[in-house]
Amino acid sequence: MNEILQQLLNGIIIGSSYALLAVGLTLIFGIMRIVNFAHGEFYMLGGVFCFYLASRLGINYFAALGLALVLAMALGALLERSILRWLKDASIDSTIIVTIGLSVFIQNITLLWMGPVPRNIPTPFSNAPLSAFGLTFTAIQIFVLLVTALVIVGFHVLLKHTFLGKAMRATFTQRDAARLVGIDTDRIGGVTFILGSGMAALAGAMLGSIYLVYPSMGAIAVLKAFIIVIVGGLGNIMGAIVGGLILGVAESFVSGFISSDYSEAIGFFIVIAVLLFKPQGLFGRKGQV
Amino acid sequence: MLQLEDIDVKYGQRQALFGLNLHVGEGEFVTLLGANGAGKTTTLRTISGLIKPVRGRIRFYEEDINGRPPSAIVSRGISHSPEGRKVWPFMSVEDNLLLGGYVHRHKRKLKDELQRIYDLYPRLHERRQQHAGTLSGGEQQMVAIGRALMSNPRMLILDEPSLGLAPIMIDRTMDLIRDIHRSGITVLLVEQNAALALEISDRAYVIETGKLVLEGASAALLKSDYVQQAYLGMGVAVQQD
Amino acid sequence: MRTSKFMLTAIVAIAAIAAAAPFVLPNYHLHVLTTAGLFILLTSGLNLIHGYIGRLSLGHTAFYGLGGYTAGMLSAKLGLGLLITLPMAALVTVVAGLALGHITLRFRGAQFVLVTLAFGAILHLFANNLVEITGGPMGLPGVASPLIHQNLPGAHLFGSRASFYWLVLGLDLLALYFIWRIVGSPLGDAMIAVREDENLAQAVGINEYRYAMLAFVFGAALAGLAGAIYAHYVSFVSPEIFHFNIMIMILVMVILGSVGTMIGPVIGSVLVVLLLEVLRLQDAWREPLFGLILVFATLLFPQGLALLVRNGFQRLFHRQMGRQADGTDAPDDSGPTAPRPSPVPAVARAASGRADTGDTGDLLLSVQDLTVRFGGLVAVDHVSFEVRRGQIVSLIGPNGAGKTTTLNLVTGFIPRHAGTIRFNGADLPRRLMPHEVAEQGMIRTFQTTRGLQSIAVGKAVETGLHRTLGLNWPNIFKAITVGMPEGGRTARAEALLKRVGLERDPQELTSNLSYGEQRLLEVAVALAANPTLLVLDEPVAGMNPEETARMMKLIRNLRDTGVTVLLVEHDMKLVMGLSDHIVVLDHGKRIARGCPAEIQTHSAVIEAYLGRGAAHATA
Repeated sequence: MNEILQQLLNGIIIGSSYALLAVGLTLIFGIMRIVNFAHGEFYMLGGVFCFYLASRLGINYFAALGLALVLAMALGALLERSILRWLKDASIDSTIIVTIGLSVFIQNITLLWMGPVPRNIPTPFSNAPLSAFGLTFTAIQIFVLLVTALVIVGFHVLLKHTFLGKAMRATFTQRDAARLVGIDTDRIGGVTFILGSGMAALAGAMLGSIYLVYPSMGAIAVLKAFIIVIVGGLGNIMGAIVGGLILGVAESFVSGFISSDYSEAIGFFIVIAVLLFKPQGLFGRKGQV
Repeated sequence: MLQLEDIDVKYGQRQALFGLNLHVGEGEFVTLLGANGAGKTTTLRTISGLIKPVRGRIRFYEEDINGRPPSAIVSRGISHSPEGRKVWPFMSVEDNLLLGGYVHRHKRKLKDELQRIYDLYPRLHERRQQHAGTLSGGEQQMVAIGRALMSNPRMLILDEPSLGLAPIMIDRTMDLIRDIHRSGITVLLVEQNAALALEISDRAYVIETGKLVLEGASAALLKSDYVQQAYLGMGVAVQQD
Repeated sequence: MRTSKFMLTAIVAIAAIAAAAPFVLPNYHLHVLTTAGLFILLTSGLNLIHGYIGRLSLGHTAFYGLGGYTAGMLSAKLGLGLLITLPMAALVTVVAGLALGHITLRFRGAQFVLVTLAFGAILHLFANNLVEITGGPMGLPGVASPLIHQNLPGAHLFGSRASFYWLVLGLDLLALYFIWRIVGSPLGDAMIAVREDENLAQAVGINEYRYAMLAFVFGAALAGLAGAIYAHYVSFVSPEIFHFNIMIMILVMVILGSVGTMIGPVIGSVLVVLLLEVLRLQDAWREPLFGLILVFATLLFPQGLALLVRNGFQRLFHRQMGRQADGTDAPDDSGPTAPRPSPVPAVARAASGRADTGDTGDLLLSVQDLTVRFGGLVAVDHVSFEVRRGQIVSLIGPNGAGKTTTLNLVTGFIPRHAGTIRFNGADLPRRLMPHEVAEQGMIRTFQTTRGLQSIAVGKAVETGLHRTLGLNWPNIFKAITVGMPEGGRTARAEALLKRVGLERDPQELTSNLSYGEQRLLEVAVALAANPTLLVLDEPVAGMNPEETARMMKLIRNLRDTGVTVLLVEHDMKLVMGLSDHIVVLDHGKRIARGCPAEIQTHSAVIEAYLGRGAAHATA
């Protein structure tokens, strides 16, 4: 029983970062209608920037974290203003290819810069295992869990209680009416992209702090993000959160009880199963926020 | 107050409006009638800036507004309650209303505006925390109208408010609209239900396949069978009153 | 794509030059060309499913890898040679393609992309982890390569780089031959129709699933062959063969080359391989440069290189043609002055002159108690009506009455909850697919539809002929291998264009047609399918008076030549002027039926359209 709870805990910790990643992708898809294959690169850059700032430049971990986020979001803003604006009327094909191209570019530039060897982000937390309620964990894991939970809750507050959040929800569910009350849907799209990329970057920095960072970590991340989004239901933010947690827990269970080699595969099996039995996703309905 | 001159609108290659000439005077209650697909909604969407005309001018208080974005149109005082109401179903009534005042969101008076709408429509106050999608058709129409009023418009555009409503609710909605007009707001109403619209409006236009075919005082048109002829293809009246 | 003598000679010449390559080029260059040749197999296959059917499959490498591992395992473990492993690889991938296609083709859009991607990734993972079978991450060495294992049966056949090159070249030519056959035949037309406008394709009887499956399996086989050859070529196969990077490479080649053209994959493959060779000089920067090129090439020429070149040529040549056609252009729709329509001729006032006896001809379509619910709303509520042979029947009603929904129910585009539909003497079962309804002879048009963009007008009409061509599997097989006889399709298409009064050159592109002409074309396409009942959804929506009059004349003409017509319209002049029988819906229910004169004075109808109180206005 303890084993199960332990894996559950591990799964939730990972899953909460997955949830962040997926929510970012959902926002971008729901509001901007863009299938963003480069989403995973922001995830990677969050981790890589954090590593570089903390390790190479010796900056304090928390400051490095914050700075990494800012850098990633700035890059997102730059990309959105330039390349993505040109994609506004493009076909899905074009959008996919261009975002794939961006992904290839970013991934390989990073590879050139830091090499393929996975790196460790130095954190002020010790690696000593802690214990409570019969479960073991490390300080960094708790930190990650707290931060992601805080951000998810904070985002929820943003969506529900600020004008910006309401405008985002309005654009998401009923674009015409949003424009009619004077919401600048293009500007909302820009803000969304920055937010979504920031979430991806945070997820990358968080998981990167627990595990390792390496230039190709974005590729598998974007796949997982898409899997989660489809499992949760396209365009459903709650679905993305729950889906992320489900994936994290599933991977954890498979890794702990079967074999860590196959933990990557479980996501694909889940998405195939969901598509076969409930193709609109677990949370089906579109636009529920 | 509002003037459409020689407006042509195309959807890709398909022309939807042909040389439309329309005007609404300050304080008037004008209705635009026509069968489905005739171009009524297209006209309204063009006024509101969702569509750019390929030709012609739209003037609001002597200022050119064709081609301006919807936010600019709302800021200048034209508010639009769209076809099908299009409330945000998973947001509360209050949020729906608040967003109606989006262009004034930085001003403190937004709370006052909200209170004003609640005073006008106590029903909305009762249901303010409910998800708008759970309301009845008539109540949703009230939300849509309230939302449009939040920006304190000088002119209100309504697209088929009676669509899908039960007869009692239609009457209530029409009363609502009449009251809005009496309070000094200019109204441009699009309706498929001709009798209803003619009963409460001052002046009417009839549009057919993208062209205006009839214009006149509502009272006169209500008595004659010009409108019926136009609607039911029994020959087209070209007379203007 | 009719291949002229010129094209044929050019192709033979290129093939000959290509075949001569091993005699003049050094080994390394030959290797590059061989690589390009393998990619041609991969890209041509992907182009079929993505470019022609219009489904983006990101799992193509699954078949590449399956072919590679099949050949690799048969060879490394059982010592079999190419002559056996190649056909086996093709067999395995065909079976896998059938299975995977069956699972994935029911999905569309992003879901299809993801589920194909998932399968590719799963195979990658299995290859990595099933170490006893596949050799794991280290791969499977010792795949018999005639280059190395000289004492292999048949080694003398493939004992040199040149022979591998010729093998690949030969397979490329063979694959391109089959694809040329497919694309140039009604099969290709059907695939393009599915890609451009799936609803339209279904409406003329094209079975989307069948053609998607054909493209999918054929592409799988080509990929499998490529994988098998590759395994023998490098004498090694590893899980890297499933890598997503290869998938991206193939996709990029297809898109850069031009999706949906035959020559596109060839151009794309050769160019990208050469590009990568050129970039090899900056080895480290190769990949990021590749990414950048991707981004900008797509933004600058989204249609791809082959189309860029072709459109350029066409614009040069058609400029002359366009001038001649100007005289017959539709009247200018850019701004008539006063909004005064011409007075309607007296004909429009009364009925069409044919009294609605209700017994004109026997019963062709009988709809009883048709019902459908969406959520809590009953959109169509126990609607019943009849269409008799030789009649023009109109379905009218105010906004939201359920007219188009009723059409969709009758033609099989939405499933009904209740009610019976009897057509041409047979009951239509509830779960009938739209193309099956079309097969019965009920052909429909659409009110809002993309239509078949950017193809020749004549070709568009030919697409409609699909149902009349008897394309069962034996005939399809024949079409792919030895081709289908032209069978007068072009002539039939031209005749149909004349019949609807579309005075345009059959080579003219559909995108150059005016709006009214495009809608006339839609009717021609529907007529091509030889309808017993022609169902028209708002045929004159958005048309000016001249175009409307033309359509009216056409519909009347069609009825007079024996085509029964059911139409939905808002244009009352047309409805009253044309119809033998009218059915009126309001809020999902039938509120009236009869001849035009009856309907015009029917109080329920007046009330529905004009509101309460307006009924008093009737004389």
